[in-house]
Amino acid sequence: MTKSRLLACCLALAGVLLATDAGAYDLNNGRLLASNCTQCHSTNVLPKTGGYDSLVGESYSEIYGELREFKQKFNATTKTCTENDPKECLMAVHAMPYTDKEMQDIAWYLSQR
Amino acid sequence: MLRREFVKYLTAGAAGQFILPVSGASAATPLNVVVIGGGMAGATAAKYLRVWARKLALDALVSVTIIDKSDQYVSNIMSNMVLTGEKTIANLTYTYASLKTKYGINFIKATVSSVDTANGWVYGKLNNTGSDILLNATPFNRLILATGISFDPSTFTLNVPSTVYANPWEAIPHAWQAGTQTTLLRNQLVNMTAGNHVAVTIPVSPYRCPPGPYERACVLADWLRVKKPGSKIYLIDPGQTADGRPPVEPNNFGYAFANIHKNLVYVQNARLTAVTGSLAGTTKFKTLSLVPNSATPLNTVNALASPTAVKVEVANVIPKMQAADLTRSVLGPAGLDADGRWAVVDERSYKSLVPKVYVIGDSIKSANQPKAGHIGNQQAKVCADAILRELSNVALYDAPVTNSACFTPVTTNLNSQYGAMASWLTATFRYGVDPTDNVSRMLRVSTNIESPGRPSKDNFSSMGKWFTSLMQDVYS
Repeated sequence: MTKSRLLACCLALAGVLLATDAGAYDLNNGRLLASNCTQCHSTNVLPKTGGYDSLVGESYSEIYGELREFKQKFNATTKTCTENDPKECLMAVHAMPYTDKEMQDIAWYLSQR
Repeated sequence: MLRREFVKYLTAGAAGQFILPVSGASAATPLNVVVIGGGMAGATAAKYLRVWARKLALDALVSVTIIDKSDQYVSNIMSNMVLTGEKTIANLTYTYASLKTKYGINFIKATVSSVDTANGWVYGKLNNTGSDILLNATPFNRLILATGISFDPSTFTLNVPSTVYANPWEAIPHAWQAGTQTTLLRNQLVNMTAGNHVAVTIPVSPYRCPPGPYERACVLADWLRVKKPGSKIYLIDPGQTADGRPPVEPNNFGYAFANIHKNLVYVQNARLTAVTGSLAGTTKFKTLSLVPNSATPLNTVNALASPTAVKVEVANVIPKMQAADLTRSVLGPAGLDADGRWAVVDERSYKSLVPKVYVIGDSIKSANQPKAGHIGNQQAKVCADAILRELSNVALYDAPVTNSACFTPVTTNLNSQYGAMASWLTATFRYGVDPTDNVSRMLRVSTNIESPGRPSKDNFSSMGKWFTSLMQDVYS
């Protein structure tokens, strides 16, 4: 596990506890926001044939950690991607709109599928 | 108890939003949704209404019917590759079989003529023949219009000999609605004489698929170089930029125009005023008359400064666009923007100004969201979510997010130097208050982000994955 992955997992765990303490994940909001993911990433709504990586079976921590990691690769001030790797840059753009609570809702919704 | 189960237990208890006892008047009012138009937006709305209704245990209350004049959808996305012979129309054809069998969606093949929004009735020609009849057995209480675009060719004159073209519009196929138009343009390209030229004219914005004309010019330039030696392609753009690079994906297309496609002649600030057809032997030439779109050219590289004309054998004229005729007639002038072209909607739900009527996809007026299949798919989900929230008495999500992503082929598999390469363009949007005028709308969260570096084979490979996944999200 890389250092960044470890950090992401730790942050994700903190997110779980925070969200639990706060009372709830919002599953309606998670459903709506996570539907931005299903255009490219297979979920259990879809058959998995030939598309990008499936998110089926990924845990809350994995998804939340990845979203946070991607979001950090977008410079919110300049509104530009700080990555040169096209794939990382693409995901940075897609992760950046979400608040931390929304990323938790997305991760929670997808991890329950 | 596992942590996950514990959290789930807390969640269900605290939020109470997933396990619904539905209360209030809405519980007694089943949704009967009619979706007119089974393209990227319409099919997605129908599917997600049913998928999410099932997850909410509300599926007994949600009936969905798609009405479309065709029982097959031909994807506009990737259809430029039909022009180059890399794909076929069959490769891009999707049916409604999964939507019917897996999700219980009803399908009616018909051309819709009119809609009685007050009483929930849709009239039209069943199987596209005969007289208008009532199409829906029970009245709708929600109508989703996902009818796409129509063309407004009034901005130029067309004069071609009727002895040559029974239908004059076949002289200048737009191929901007995939299917017979794509085949028509493909055949004209295949049959043209090597050394003659091709033109693609770009409409004024907004139009469906902003990168599309630039992509088409790129792949046709590649195809012509191999298949029609000596032929050039003119790309006629009413827009202009300070440096002469394309306004869309300036880095990727700018690089491709300057370094790869030497037979591509890119003309900015050029507005089409007339197409005049003529015959020379067996060759069907068209003369395109062009004038400067703005009296002030922004550059000396390629911005048109005075009227000119180009003579081509194949004229791919993409006319100015507007919301489909049916959507404009159903909404009426009060439901359209000031120009009477696009549907005014609340971008949190895609509700139009007409009660019970929602509009999604390329027909809508949006300050920032582009017109394209990928984002139409996401708008459809926001719309479906809003309708289901209303049914289940859950507050509307007041800051929905949508995204646009578009991969574009820049070279073809005919290119011996580069092989098939692609680029991409993406952006994300969120509903909020626009600081420029204090009006709430979908705002661009990111700028338009192009794929970094140069067009690449890796992007081309990713393009296949993107297209496969997106179409599965709509039709599987």
